[in-house]
Amino acid sequence: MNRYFYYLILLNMLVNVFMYVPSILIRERFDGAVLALPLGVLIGTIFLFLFVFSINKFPKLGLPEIIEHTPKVFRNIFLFFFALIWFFAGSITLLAFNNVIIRFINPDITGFNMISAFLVLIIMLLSLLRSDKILYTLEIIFILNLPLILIIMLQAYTNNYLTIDSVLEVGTHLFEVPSLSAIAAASFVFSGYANLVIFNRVFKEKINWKLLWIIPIVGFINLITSVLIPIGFWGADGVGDLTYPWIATSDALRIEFGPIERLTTIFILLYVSVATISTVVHWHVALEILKSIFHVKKFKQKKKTIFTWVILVIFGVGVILLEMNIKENTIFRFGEAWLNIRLFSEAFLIILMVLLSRRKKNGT
Amino acid sequence: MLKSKKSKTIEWLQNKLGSSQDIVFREFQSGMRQAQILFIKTLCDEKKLQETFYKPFYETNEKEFDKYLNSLPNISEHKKNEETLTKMLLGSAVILLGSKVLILDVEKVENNSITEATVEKVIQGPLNALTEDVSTNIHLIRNRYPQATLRIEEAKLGKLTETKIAIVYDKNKAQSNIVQAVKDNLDRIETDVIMAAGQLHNKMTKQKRTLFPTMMITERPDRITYNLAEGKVVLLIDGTLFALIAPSVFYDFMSSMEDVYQSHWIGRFILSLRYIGLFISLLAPSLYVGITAYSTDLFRVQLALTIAGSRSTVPYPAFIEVLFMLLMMELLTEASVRLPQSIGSTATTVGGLILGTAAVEAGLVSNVMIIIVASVAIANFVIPINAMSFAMRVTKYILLALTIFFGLVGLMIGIIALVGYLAKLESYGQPYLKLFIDPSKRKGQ
Amino acid sequence: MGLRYVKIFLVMLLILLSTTACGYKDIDKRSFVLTIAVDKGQEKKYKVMLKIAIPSSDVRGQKPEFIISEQESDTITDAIRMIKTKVDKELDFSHAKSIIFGEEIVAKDVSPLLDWFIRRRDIQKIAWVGIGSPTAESIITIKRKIERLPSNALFMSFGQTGTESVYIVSEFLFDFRKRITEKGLDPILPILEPKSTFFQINKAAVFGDKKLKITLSEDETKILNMLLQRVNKADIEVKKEDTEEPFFFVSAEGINSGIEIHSSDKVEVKIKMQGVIEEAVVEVSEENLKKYKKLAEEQFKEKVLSLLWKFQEEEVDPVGFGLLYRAKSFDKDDWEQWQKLYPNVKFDVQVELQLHGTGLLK
Repeated sequence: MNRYFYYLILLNMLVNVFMYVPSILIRERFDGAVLALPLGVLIGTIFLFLFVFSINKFPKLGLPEIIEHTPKVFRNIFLFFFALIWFFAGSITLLAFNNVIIRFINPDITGFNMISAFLVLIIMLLSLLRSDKILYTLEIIFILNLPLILIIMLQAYTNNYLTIDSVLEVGTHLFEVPSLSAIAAASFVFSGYANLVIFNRVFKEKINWKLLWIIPIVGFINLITSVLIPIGFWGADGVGDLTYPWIATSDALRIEFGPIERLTTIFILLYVSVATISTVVHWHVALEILKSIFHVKKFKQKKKTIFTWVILVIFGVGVILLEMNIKENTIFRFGEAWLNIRLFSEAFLIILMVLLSRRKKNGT
Repeated sequence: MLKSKKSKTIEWLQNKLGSSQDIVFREFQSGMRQAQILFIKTLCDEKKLQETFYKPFYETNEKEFDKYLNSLPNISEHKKNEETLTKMLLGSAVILLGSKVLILDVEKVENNSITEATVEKVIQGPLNALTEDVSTNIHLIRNRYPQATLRIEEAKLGKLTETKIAIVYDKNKAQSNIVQAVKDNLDRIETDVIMAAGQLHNKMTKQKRTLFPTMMITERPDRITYNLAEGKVVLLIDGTLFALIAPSVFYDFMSSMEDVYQSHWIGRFILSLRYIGLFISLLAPSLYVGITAYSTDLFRVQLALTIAGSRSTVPYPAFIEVLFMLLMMELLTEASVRLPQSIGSTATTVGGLILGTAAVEAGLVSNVMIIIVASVAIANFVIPINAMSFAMRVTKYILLALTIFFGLVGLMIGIIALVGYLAKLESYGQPYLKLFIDPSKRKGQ
Repeated sequence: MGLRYVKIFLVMLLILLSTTACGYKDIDKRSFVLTIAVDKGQEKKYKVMLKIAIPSSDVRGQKPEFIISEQESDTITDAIRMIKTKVDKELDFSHAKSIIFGEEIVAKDVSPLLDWFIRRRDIQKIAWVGIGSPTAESIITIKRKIERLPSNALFMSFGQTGTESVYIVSEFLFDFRKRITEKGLDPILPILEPKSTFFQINKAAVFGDKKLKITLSEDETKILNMLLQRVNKADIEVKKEDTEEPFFFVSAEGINSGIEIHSSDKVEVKIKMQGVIEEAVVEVSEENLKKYKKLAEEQFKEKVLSLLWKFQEEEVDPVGFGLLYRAKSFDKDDWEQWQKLYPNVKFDVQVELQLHGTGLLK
């Protein structure tokens, strides 16, 4: 079961394209984004290790069970806040990739229709799948997508038109003080571990420490790729004008001898399918947290189902309202704000977890 | 008293059976001994009856004959009228001998000839399939799997058909909870008629309407043996040469026994070929519609212009073209299954070659379309287990519908939904679609 | 239970589908624009020409058929809108694989012109860009006999899948824009010239300040291609010492070039290659191989130097010395520094040729 932990982390790493991480970092490429990369890796890794350390103390328990004994008011507010965080995580991804699809693949469809189609899919999956089944689905989607994503990345790295000097030029702005947004964005790629607050329930073993060192390395490569490759393709000065740096970059790739020459559509479809699963995962966490606030476990079967559907419908309506009322730029600002809030709430979560795990150690 | 009860039984039985012409009631005598026999001629093997009953009856004395009867394995005593009637209907003879009412099983088995496997063929491997008789099948399995731990339990299903079902498993390998679950499941079934493995499978699944098989249907004794060794439960059904294997997951339906018989890399190659076939048969029509009607930038320009050119005479949209051709293909497949073999090939030739060429010539269908439909049809037959290949044939249309309305994004939504749905399914506690299900680890789950 | 959800899923989809006015458009209802050409208009600012392919239903014996639709306008968007009214099918730009600008139009700042191409989602960013000389129209209207597909010759020669020529500097749209925006890396474009029924590409244009500055000759184009690492095979002509007569040709392979800036007043250019003598105009002998090697190296070095001086004189930088300087310098005003340095910078060119032999003849 341990490998699913790495999938959850990998999921966030891939989805960062739709979480505006490259956009934020590229915007600040001359003002500290470079330093933000190692800082983000450092913060992310520390968080990750502390979290794994403390959650390993609570095998097969999710966050709601772990904080069962804290004061009820605190517990409920805390859980509700985190449910909101996770709901918005899924929503922002959904809104962002919905926007990309309307822009680049199906320009003739309305935003409402497209997002509804995705909502139907996501809500169906949420109502259908238990935690472990979501992980299985995630794995299969990865197996279908990752090889192709890797091929595209390989194409990007081996491209003749990738200007290393532009990348290095950005690299020479290392000694700028990074902004909060940049650090928050950079550390986002690691925060996939946080999904464990629910998925730890179905993990049969503790997280293995032995392989954990891979994550910072992969994360760093991932960050570098998602920020620096667009710079290499579009130039240090020109890249800033792009609304979706990665989509534009994928359009600069070309397979010479394949049946398919232009990679944008493939790229978007691959990433959107990963992002869809990411939304499912995030909303599943939100849903499960909400369920444990209301102690749904004690409900009768029928009431349980009704409760789940009510929550899901609220999720869906919420996103549709967001989609209809905010525009591209606002999603971006919204996403940026979310990333910042996320950094702090994650820190708060880590502190709480460490405290609880220490108390548990003393207690037993 | 006794005598009256005996004759009452016979009377009751005769009453119930009515006056069919194949019902035989005879009285006969040897020395002082008297006996009466009642059986259904068409169900009983008279030769057997002759050997086991008539001959000893006339050739031995009373005492020896009693001993002899007691030693027979296929004899039992009468207990209840209804039970006896059922047994009679399954090929037993009722014998009144002195004070006893005995039931002698002399069932005539006519469909136990072993034939070659026709549905799941392999090139180099065991050739024969199961028979339609349960006891012959058990014999086949016992022969291939000579283990003391092999357990065979019998059950009867179907209020009217009383179909014999044998539950076969290896006690040491199969998990007891799965065996129990299968038994409970069989107990729950309430139905009148059971005739085929697929039918039983349908009755055993909880949902009424399913698309994907969650139990393997096979005709191969070697596959059954292989699965028994993996700790699975096999259900043999009397009257059909197909057996059910539970639990079965997605990958089982994609594997053929050939994978085990061929050398490693060849096996892998064939297996990957099958997955490629699966993807082609699922995705090709949707990709065609999605790319030609929505994402034209995906093709190379040369290809795009070729397709545009070949479509330029076609008077209706691509999705109608696809649907029309797929429908024709389904009809062809269906027709060639139903037709006798000698005519079947004619039908495919007429349909496939002549119809296809004519449709292109007439400008009703583009020739690229013909290539796609043909490859879909061929690729579909690569899936080794029929039930799965049918399921995929249906799934293809769902994906196509989504693609028609949402383009490639719709196709992607469909694929994710399909993966999610498959992952949701379970076969007796086994997740249906999960990567790396290691056979040795399966028991632990 | 599960199936109930699937049913709900399907029903909801159906509801959704019924409300969808989707973008379904069959491939045969689209007109594929293969080449976009922009010239200076006679009355308005631009003259936009689209080369639209007409797919023929007969796959064999197909002849390249196309129409060219043109419109003069002040903006490209407007021109396209006007063209749309003339074409019966939906214009599809997703296969516009080449973009040709007229010579006159690139004499002015091209960035406003480029904006439309970058902004449109359906224009490939891997479209090839070139300059039509004297006009883009003269290139786009050429009807080649051997083409199986309109514009195919253009795609083939740019893509270097058909011809592998060292005289073509293939430029993608995204790279062109990168070079326009990037400080310290100037754009280059190949120049296409019509020759009755075909066209010739063997010159390159170098941009400075977002407009055409200098035109390079064939030889200079070849050297530029080598400096940019775009080719790894080339022929090098070697002349007899102190004369203009050709002596022999070297077929060079494995060309590898590198530029380095260690001090602020010197740019080092290293070119490594290996080769054999391909065609000797005057007799050569194997013993003198070392001498030939030196001769070839020196002559080639001279050529490279004169090209670099030409760039320096015109203050253009297609190789990217400026960008390299920026990449090496941690100063914030490194670009301003370089602008001052570049006119006076010295070039140190080192050519290393490994001459393997004299070919099949001694």
